[in-house]
Amino acid sequence: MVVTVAGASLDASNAKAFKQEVVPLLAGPARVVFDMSQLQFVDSSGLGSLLSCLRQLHTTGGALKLCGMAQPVRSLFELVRMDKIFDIVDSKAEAIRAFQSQG
Amino acid sequence: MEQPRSSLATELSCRLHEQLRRHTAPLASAAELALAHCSSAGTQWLLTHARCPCSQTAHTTPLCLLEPTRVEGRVCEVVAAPPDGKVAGMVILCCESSQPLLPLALRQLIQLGLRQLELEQENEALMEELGVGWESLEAVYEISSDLRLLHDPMELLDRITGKAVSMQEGVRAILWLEEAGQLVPVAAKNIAKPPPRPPGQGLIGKVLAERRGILLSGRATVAAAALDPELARAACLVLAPVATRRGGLGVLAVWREDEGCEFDSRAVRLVEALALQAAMVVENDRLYRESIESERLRQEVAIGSEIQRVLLLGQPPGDFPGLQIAALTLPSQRIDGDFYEFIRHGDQCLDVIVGDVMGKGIPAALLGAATKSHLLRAMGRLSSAATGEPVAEPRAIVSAMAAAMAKQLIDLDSFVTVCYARFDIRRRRVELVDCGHTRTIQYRQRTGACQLLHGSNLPLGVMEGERYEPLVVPFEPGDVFVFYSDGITEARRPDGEGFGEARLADVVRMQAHLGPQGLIEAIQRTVTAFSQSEAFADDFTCVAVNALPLADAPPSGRAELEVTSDLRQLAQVRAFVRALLRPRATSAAAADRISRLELAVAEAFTNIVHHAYGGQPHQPIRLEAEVFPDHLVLQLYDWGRPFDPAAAPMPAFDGSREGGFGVYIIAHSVDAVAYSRDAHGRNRLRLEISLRNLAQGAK
Repeated sequence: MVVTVAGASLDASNAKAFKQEVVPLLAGPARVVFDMSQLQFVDSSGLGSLLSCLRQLHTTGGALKLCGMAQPVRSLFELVRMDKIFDIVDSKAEAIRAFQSQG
Repeated sequence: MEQPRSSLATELSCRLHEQLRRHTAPLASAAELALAHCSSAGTQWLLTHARCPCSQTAHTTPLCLLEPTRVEGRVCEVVAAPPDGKVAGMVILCCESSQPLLPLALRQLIQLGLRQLELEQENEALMEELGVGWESLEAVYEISSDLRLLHDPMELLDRITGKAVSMQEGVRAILWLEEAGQLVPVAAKNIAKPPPRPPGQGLIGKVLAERRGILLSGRATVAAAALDPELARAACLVLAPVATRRGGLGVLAVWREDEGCEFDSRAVRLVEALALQAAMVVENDRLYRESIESERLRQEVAIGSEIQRVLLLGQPPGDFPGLQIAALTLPSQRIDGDFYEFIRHGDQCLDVIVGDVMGKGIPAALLGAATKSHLLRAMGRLSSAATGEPVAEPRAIVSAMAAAMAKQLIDLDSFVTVCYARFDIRRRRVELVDCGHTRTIQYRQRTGACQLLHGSNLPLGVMEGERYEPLVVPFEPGDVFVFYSDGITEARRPDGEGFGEARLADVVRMQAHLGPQGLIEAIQRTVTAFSQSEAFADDFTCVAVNALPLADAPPSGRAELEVTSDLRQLAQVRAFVRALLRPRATSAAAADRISRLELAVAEAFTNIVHHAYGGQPHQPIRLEAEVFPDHLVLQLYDWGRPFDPAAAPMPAFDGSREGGFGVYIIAHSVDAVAYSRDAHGRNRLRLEISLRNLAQGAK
């Protein structure tokens, strides 16, 4: 499943709504790609909502990959070392290929 | 009879022996001299040509025959010096008769000679520790490192004056020294020596009295100012005081007579450096004379600490705007080569240079002086001829200094640690080139914490061709910087525990409010109490610099924004931050840094909504921004519950918690964070970002 995160920001103003909408979609052992290429700004609340998604998928045996990260967003992930926690790839195609090769 | 242990010792003992022979001529037929050197290994006979029956006797330490004694039918008298200290050597006089051997004066002469020998042997031992001979030390300290030459300071002064005229064509130079109430031209190059004159006359007298150099250009200007006859035809001149902190000793006058000539700042620096060396030679000579003339002085410590006090330790400026400085050195039993210097560039920058030479004693002190001399020369070489141009960067100065010294230091198997700090008061930052020195402590008043600043550079003399990289650290009013020698951190308690950085940083944190002088005194008290001793094994050197509030530099721009505790206003808050810095987003790195500031402000705003106001809507939040030439200050105000970000726990980096990142993100996205709560129950969070770093990307 590819989720395109719409909007330019995922921050304290919309992170709660994002989480409430997306987490229910992640039931079951789904392999999910978040396409973040539209996002220019993510703050710690946005990051928290993404962590919720990741944990949800971990509990159900699914997997999450993030792709298309803009530099400021990537910079935040690196700052709080979440680049080690999330599986981050460059493009949607690469994410899908990676999932396919894992079977 | 054992072989002498080194050629220097032999030379010395021969010299002493000859001196004694001359003075004992009336007794020559009756007396034979032997000179012994005592060491922990036993007694070694140094004189090969003295025929003394005692020399056949194997003496072992301690040998203190202070009363005439009969050995194999001869009267032997031992004169050892000093009777109260350790015996480095002794003279044994033997004669056939039973007459008293020596008049009192001669005995004193021998004692003086022995002290001189002791001093030189001590130095020799120190040089052996350094693994070098005097020859290689001379290579480092080009002119005056060689103690043997101290016996002829005039030759050294002549060579120094010669250096001054060799810098350019057509230069004339006279080195004037004040001697017995007269100004005496001790060395003159490319001009005949004028007669001595009373001090206090002409430009030379002015420079001597004021201990301040003079640079003049243009024949008319010189003629108007200089009444000194030999300067009458000068077209440009530099007069540098030969001075120590003790007072003026003389003047090095350097001038040219050809039309249209000028001295650039490089030439001025060179003359200043040479004048410093001349001062060192004169001081050393004076101290040397004192040391062999005075019973009081323990030579090694006294000379070393005098060199250090007079030549190695600069005087902190008392009137630098925005900085308050204090410095203290307590010499140890055996001098280290600790040094410090303060160089002022107008009212904007102050260079504080601290250093420590490996090794001890006079060689270390000389090496320290050599380093300082190289520093001055490096500055002179790098400063542009055009006046008013900015001085060279600290790293360029350190690199030049290192390049000039590295090879010799490596040959000497010695090294020098240096920390070169340039305080830029307007930009409120310090540029540090730290070459293996003890880690500078920065106390930040806002956070109440200390950080240790540590560069990655190796000490001078470890490797040739080393590149020196600076560390740029912002500071704020109230911050305190402490530079120190390892004599402080390595002070030991009776049980062997070292004082250490952590204890020192604690003292700085607790006592920073005392001001630099009070802080240094507090450090001294604490270290003394810790080591339970007044005497330190190593030099105790400490320089403290307090940043004071600056009255000037108003902000070049201001902006403010009123919002309420509604997370939907976050977009507006972010746009406000971006607008402030939009003109500065000239590179990808700058854009990245600006987006980090935006992130920090967003986090701060969200924290206020969540924590200060507990999610309660419609509460006021105010943002104020002030743009200064080199930094931006952004303050967020709210009227909610107190919330001190410093108390926040570290975030979970393993992804186990969804929140708790905000404070960490803020702290790592700006240059300074401070929280306070005022008397009106208002929370203030102050964020500062340096605009100079913008081009260098996120930190």
